[in-house]
Order: sequence, then structure tokens, then C-alpha cells
Amino acid sequence: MSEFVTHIREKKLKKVVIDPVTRVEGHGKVTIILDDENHVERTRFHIVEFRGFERFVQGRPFWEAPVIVQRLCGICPVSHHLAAAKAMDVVVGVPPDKLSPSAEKVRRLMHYGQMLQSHALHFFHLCSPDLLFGFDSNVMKRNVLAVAAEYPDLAKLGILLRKYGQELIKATAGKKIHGTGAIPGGVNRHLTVQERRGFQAQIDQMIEWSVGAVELVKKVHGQKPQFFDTFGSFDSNHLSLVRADGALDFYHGRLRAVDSQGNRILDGVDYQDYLEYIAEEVRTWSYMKFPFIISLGKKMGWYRVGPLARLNTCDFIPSPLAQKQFEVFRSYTDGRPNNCTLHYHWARMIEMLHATEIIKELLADDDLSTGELVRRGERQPAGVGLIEAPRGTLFHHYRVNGNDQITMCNLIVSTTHNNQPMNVAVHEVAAKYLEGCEVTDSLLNHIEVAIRAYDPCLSCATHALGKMPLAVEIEDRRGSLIARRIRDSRS
Amino acid sequence: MSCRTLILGFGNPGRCDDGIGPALAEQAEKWGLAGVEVTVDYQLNIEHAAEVAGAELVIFIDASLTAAAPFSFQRLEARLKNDFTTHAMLPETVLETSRKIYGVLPPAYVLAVRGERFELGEGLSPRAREYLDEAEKLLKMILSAEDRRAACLRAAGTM
Repeated sequence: MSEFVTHIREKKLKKVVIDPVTRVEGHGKVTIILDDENHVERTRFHIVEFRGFERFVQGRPFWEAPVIVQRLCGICPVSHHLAAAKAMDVVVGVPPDKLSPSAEKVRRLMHYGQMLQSHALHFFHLCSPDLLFGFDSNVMKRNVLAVAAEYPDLAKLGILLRKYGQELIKATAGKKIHGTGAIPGGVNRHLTVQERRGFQAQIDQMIEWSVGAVELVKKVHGQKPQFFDTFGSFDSNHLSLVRADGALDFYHGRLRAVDSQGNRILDGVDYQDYLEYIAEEVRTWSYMKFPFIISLGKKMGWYRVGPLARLNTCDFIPSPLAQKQFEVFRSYTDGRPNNCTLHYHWARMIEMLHATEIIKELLADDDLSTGELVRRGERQPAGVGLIEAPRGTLFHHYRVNGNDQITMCNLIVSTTHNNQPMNVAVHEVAAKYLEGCEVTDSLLNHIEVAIRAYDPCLSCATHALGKMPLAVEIEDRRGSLIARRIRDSRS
Repeated sequence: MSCRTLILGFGNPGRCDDGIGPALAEQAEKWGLAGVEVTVDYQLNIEHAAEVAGAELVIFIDASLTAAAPFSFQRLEARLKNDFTTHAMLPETVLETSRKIYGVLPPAYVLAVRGERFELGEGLSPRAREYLDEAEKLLKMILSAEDRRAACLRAAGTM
């Protein structure tokens, strides 16, 4: 469980530090600053570790990028693998529309397999304890093992869905993690007919389970609709890739952004030109940047990405069962964007269902087993690759010199896009549930629940035994450290 | 007769000595010993419980900042550890998950090899390489034994 410190300071401001946030990837730290009436004055969601990956890849040969960058994350390495490969496609002169059908379909299968495994992990193993047992339940109960004890079939189902997605990744990328399937200009393998048959034998079961997962979310929502609709909710802009015809597409498309009422801010934007539309603000208290839409400015231009945003920006879902669920989802807010934070879970499960339907479609396609794998064109000095990762839009941008070395790398990961929204969500929840200096365990979990809805990936660094110390820090108003408490993850 | 043995090496090879677990597990795979299944992963997670449940003996291999050099080898007890992320489970919790979901709890050990450097970068430090060589001797001895479980008990008893 997380630890927190309440401290009353000399200038009648109190700082409550919650570190780390449980059940998100990596470290997280929340600071809540109270005024002298014990109302929330400010909140900050910090990132503890700086990755430095953008420097790490400089000087490396460009063709290594799709493999190296996977080490950013152990949960969705395929997103980085494919985003880097897409950027390097451009560098080797093969823009997305020139990729061979076989290469694109193998990549899509890899990516949709990843979407399935990541969404299954998040929902069944991170969020289901909150949803099934309630935010106020005993902390010892809010974990996946309690789910396993009380709902063993559900826990098994989560494992099997995730496993299926991971096996797809293994078949298309070569390995479950750090695969090499996508290379600049294409892919390096087909799927055998036998492999496809193996996956085809199980896919209907995966679809059925995914339908069940959507229904489970709806059922849980139906028990306390007002609570789910208002918890940590706020109006925002939303951004994602959409296919040229407006369809939901996880692998490729053009940038679209809508405001909280559904008015389009950006549409049809070629992401090679993203720097003309998106900028990043640096704030002194966080290693993570704050992206915003340039035309709206820093204050109004922040936006959400991920499942909720994708279902708010797209016009339809190109698979029948998910489309049916999408219609219910959209009608819930009368066709306008859904700004309810906890509806991320609902959107995520609709996406999981869509992923299984597309996987079925792809597995029936002979292009997976035959056809041209790699193409080459005119070498370019730079390339941008975007993909809709499980957590949201992922940007990879590289420049490459005449010696084929990477000279510049800019990554905007999904969690960075959601930086400001997560801060807003924390503030909304803290302002509603935190009064005075009394921080109950229940209150703590409410804050964490708001953050977990975004499925943030803060730092997949080392997981060595004895590493990962948990720090609790108290600072004064000038930023001087007053106290620090370190807890080892095995203590 | 040798029992079905799962070697589970985990860690991030992009963080120097954190790659000890994968490096040693991959080495073990090359030995091609009967009844040995090797899994390499970035971090432990819930699905590893399914693999654990199918084994008669499990050896987790990880880098450690706190183990006495060159390595430690200890029996693991299944237990729920409410860590701050289920994206990276502890070996004990993977065991507990196997017990809870599949009703199976094979004997399990952790081979924790001392690491020195964990910053961004590839390749093991010279010191970690030495420790890994030492740990490799133990692992080979265990996996080559007629009775692997007895070999594990003996090895853990001498630590």
C-alpha cells in the first residue's frame, strides 16, 4: 500500500505527499498543497524518474531504433517498436501508403494483439479490484489476488486474453518482448498457415470473452451511474489518429482533435507535420512535459488521449460487434464527446472487443503468409512515426545523418499527452474528497483510481530485487527538503 | 528422474546489470537440458503464474542490489505482496497467484545475482559478469542433477 505524509508548515500551508501511486507502472508521486482552511490549493502529479532515452539512441544506426526503443516499456514495447519502424519507413523512403500489404497486415496483427493483451491486463488486473470490490473496500482486498480468490474464472479469463495477445506478438515479432519483426520498410517474417490456424481456433472465444468484458463494465456502471459519470470528470479536448474515412484505427491515420462539445480543432493532419500543431511546455517541478495544441495555446490547448479520446474523435468503429457497443457508448452522451474519466474503462473494453474482431479478420487474410515483405525508396533525412498505443497516441520523430546515425530523437508518449488531464483529475478528486489534514486510506485510493483510469506508464526502468525504493518527501514552500522516507519494495 | 523445471529470468537488458536475469536464463536455454523450460521477460506479471502452475520446480533469476556477492539462492514462500504496481510482480506474488488461481504451488527458488550498475546502457558490468559466471556454475549443477529438487534444497541450505 502507498504511504502518505501530512505536514503542517509554518506559513499555514500543508503539503500532503502521496508516494507512490499504487497499481500504475513505475513510480508516481502526488503532492497536494492545502491552504490554511484545509482546502486544496494545488495538486501535482510528479514523475520521479527521467528516462533519457532520447539521448540514449543518438549515434545509433537508424535500423536499430525499432529494437532499442522497446526497452522503454515492458508492457507495450510493440507500440514503440512499431512507431519507430514507421518513422524509419519514412527514412528509407517507404511512406505508409507504400508499405507492402503483407508488411502492413503483419504489423497490424502484432499491434492489435498488443492492444488486446495490454487492455486485458489493465482491466482485469489493475482496475477490476476497484470495480468489483469498490473504492472504499479494505486495501487488502483491492488487488488482483483478491479477484483471483473471489472470481477465479474472471482472473483466469484475464490471463488467457492477455496470453493470446502475447502469443500473437511472439508469432509476428519473434519474441513476446523486444521482438524484431518490424524493420525499416517492412517486416522480416510471414505467419505460417499453421500458425494462423492455431490462432483462428481460439479467436471466437476471445471475442466472446471481450463481449462479456464490455457487458461487465456496463453492469458495474449501471449500479452507480452518477458516481461513475462524475468521478474525476471534467471537460477537455481529445486527440487521436483516425482513418481517412473517420474510422477508429490503432495502426495508422491522420490526426484529429475535438473539443469537449465535439467541435473539430484539428482534422486530416498529416503527422509528419506535427510540429506545426503540437508543442510541449516544460514545467520546473516535473520531468514530464505538457503537450498542447498550438492554435489553442498552453492554457486551453491540452487534451486527452487513449481509449476515451479515440472513441470521442472517431466517427465509427469498423467491426460489427464493437460498432454496436460504440453506438451505445456515444448515445450515452447524446453523440457528444464523453468527458467522464471512469468511462475510460468502458471505452477500453470496447476497443479490446474491436481488436479481437480485427484479429479474426486479419487471420483469414492470406497476405499474412505470402507476398512482399520489405520495400525501399529514396532515403530521407528524417521521419515521424505515430501509432495509437494502448494508452494513447505515441509520437516518434528522428533525424538521421549521412552515416545512417540517429542525430535527433523526440518522443511524445501517451502518458505525456495525458499529463495535464491526470493533474486535473487528481485535483478534481482531491478537491471533492480531501478535507483538512485527515487522509484516509479510502481517500488515497480515490485519488489513485482517478490516475489509474489513464493507465499511465511512468517509468519501466529496472525491477531488480532491492531496487525500486519508494520515497516519501516533505518540502517547504521554497522547495527545501524537510523530510524523506524511503521504503524498499520488498519490505 | 528430472522434474519439469521452469527457469524464469527477468530484467531489463537496457539497464546494464538489470539484464543479468535474462542473460543467465538464455545461457541455460543453450544447454538444451531435458525437462527444462526457459522464459525470459522484462518483468514478472500475472500470466507467469500460468507457467509456474505447469512446472514441478521453479527458479527465478534476477539481478539484485542487496544480495551478498556473487549471488544468493533462497527458497521462496508464496505470499501476497501489495506492491505499488501489478505491472511488475514479485516472485512470491507470482507463486501466490498460481496457488490462488490454479491451486498449484511448486517448490520455487530465487537466484539473485548481485548487480552494480543499473543506469541506461547495454551490457553487464565486469563485476556483474564475474558474478553471473559464478551463478551459472550453480545453476548448471542444479539442472544437471538427477534430483533437481534435492539439489535446490542442498544449495539453499548452504547459503
